[in-house]
Amino acid sequence: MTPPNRPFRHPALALILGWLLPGSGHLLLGQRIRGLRVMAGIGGLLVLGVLIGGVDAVDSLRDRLWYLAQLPAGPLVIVLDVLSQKVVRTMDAPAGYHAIGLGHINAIGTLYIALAGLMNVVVMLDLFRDRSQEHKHRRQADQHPDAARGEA
Amino acid sequence: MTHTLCWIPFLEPMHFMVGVWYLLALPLLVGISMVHKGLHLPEHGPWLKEVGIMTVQATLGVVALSLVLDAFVVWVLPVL
Repeated sequence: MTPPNRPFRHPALALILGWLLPGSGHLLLGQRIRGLRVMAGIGGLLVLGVLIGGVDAVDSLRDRLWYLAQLPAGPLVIVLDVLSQKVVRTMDAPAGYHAIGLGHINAIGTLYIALAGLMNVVVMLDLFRDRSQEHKHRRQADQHPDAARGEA
Repeated sequence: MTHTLCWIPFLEPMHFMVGVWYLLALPLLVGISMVHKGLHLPEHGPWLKEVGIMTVQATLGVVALSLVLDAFVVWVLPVL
C-alpha cells in the first residue's frame, strides 16, 4: 500500500475502485481513516435510500435524470435498477402495488441514493487532490506528540 | 401499525412513514455531513464532533428556510 500523502502512480485504478466501492480509492492511496469515513457515509446513504424507498427508488426508465445522479454511487445502483425493472415492475397485484414507491417516500428514497452518487463524484475528484502540504502541522503533531506538547 | 407488520424491508417502500416524511431528512443530513467532514478534516481530526455540529447547523438552516417559506405562503402570497 502507498504511504499516505505520497502521489499514487495509478490514479485511474483508484478512481475505478472508488466507484466500485465508495471510499476504497482512498484506502488504496493509504488514507485509511478517510476512506472508512467516506465508505460509512456513502454506504449509509445508499442503504437508507433503499430501506426508505425500496428497490423502486432506482428506476432508469421513469426517473432517468435521477438515475444519472445515482449511478456514480457504484455498481449496486445498476443491480437495483435491474431488480426494479425485472422484479418490482413485473409483480402481480396486490404485491406489486406495495412494492412501487409513491409520493414523498419514493422521492426521499430516490434523493438519498442520488445524493450518495453525487457525494461519490466529489469523493472521486478528491482522489486527485494533493494533500502533501495540507495539515502539515497537525500531521507533525500526530507523529511527534511529545515535541508538539513541548511547544504548547 | 398493520402496515408496518406486512412491510418487506429493502423491497417495499416505507409508506407508513408518509405522515412524518420530513423526519427522514435528518439521517440524510447526517450522511452528507459524514462524507463532507470525512473528506475535509485531517485523518485524526474530531470527526464525530464535527459531523454532529454540521448536522445541527444544516437542520437549523432547513427549519429556518421552511419557516420563511411558510410565512411567504401564508401571509405574503394572499396579499399579492
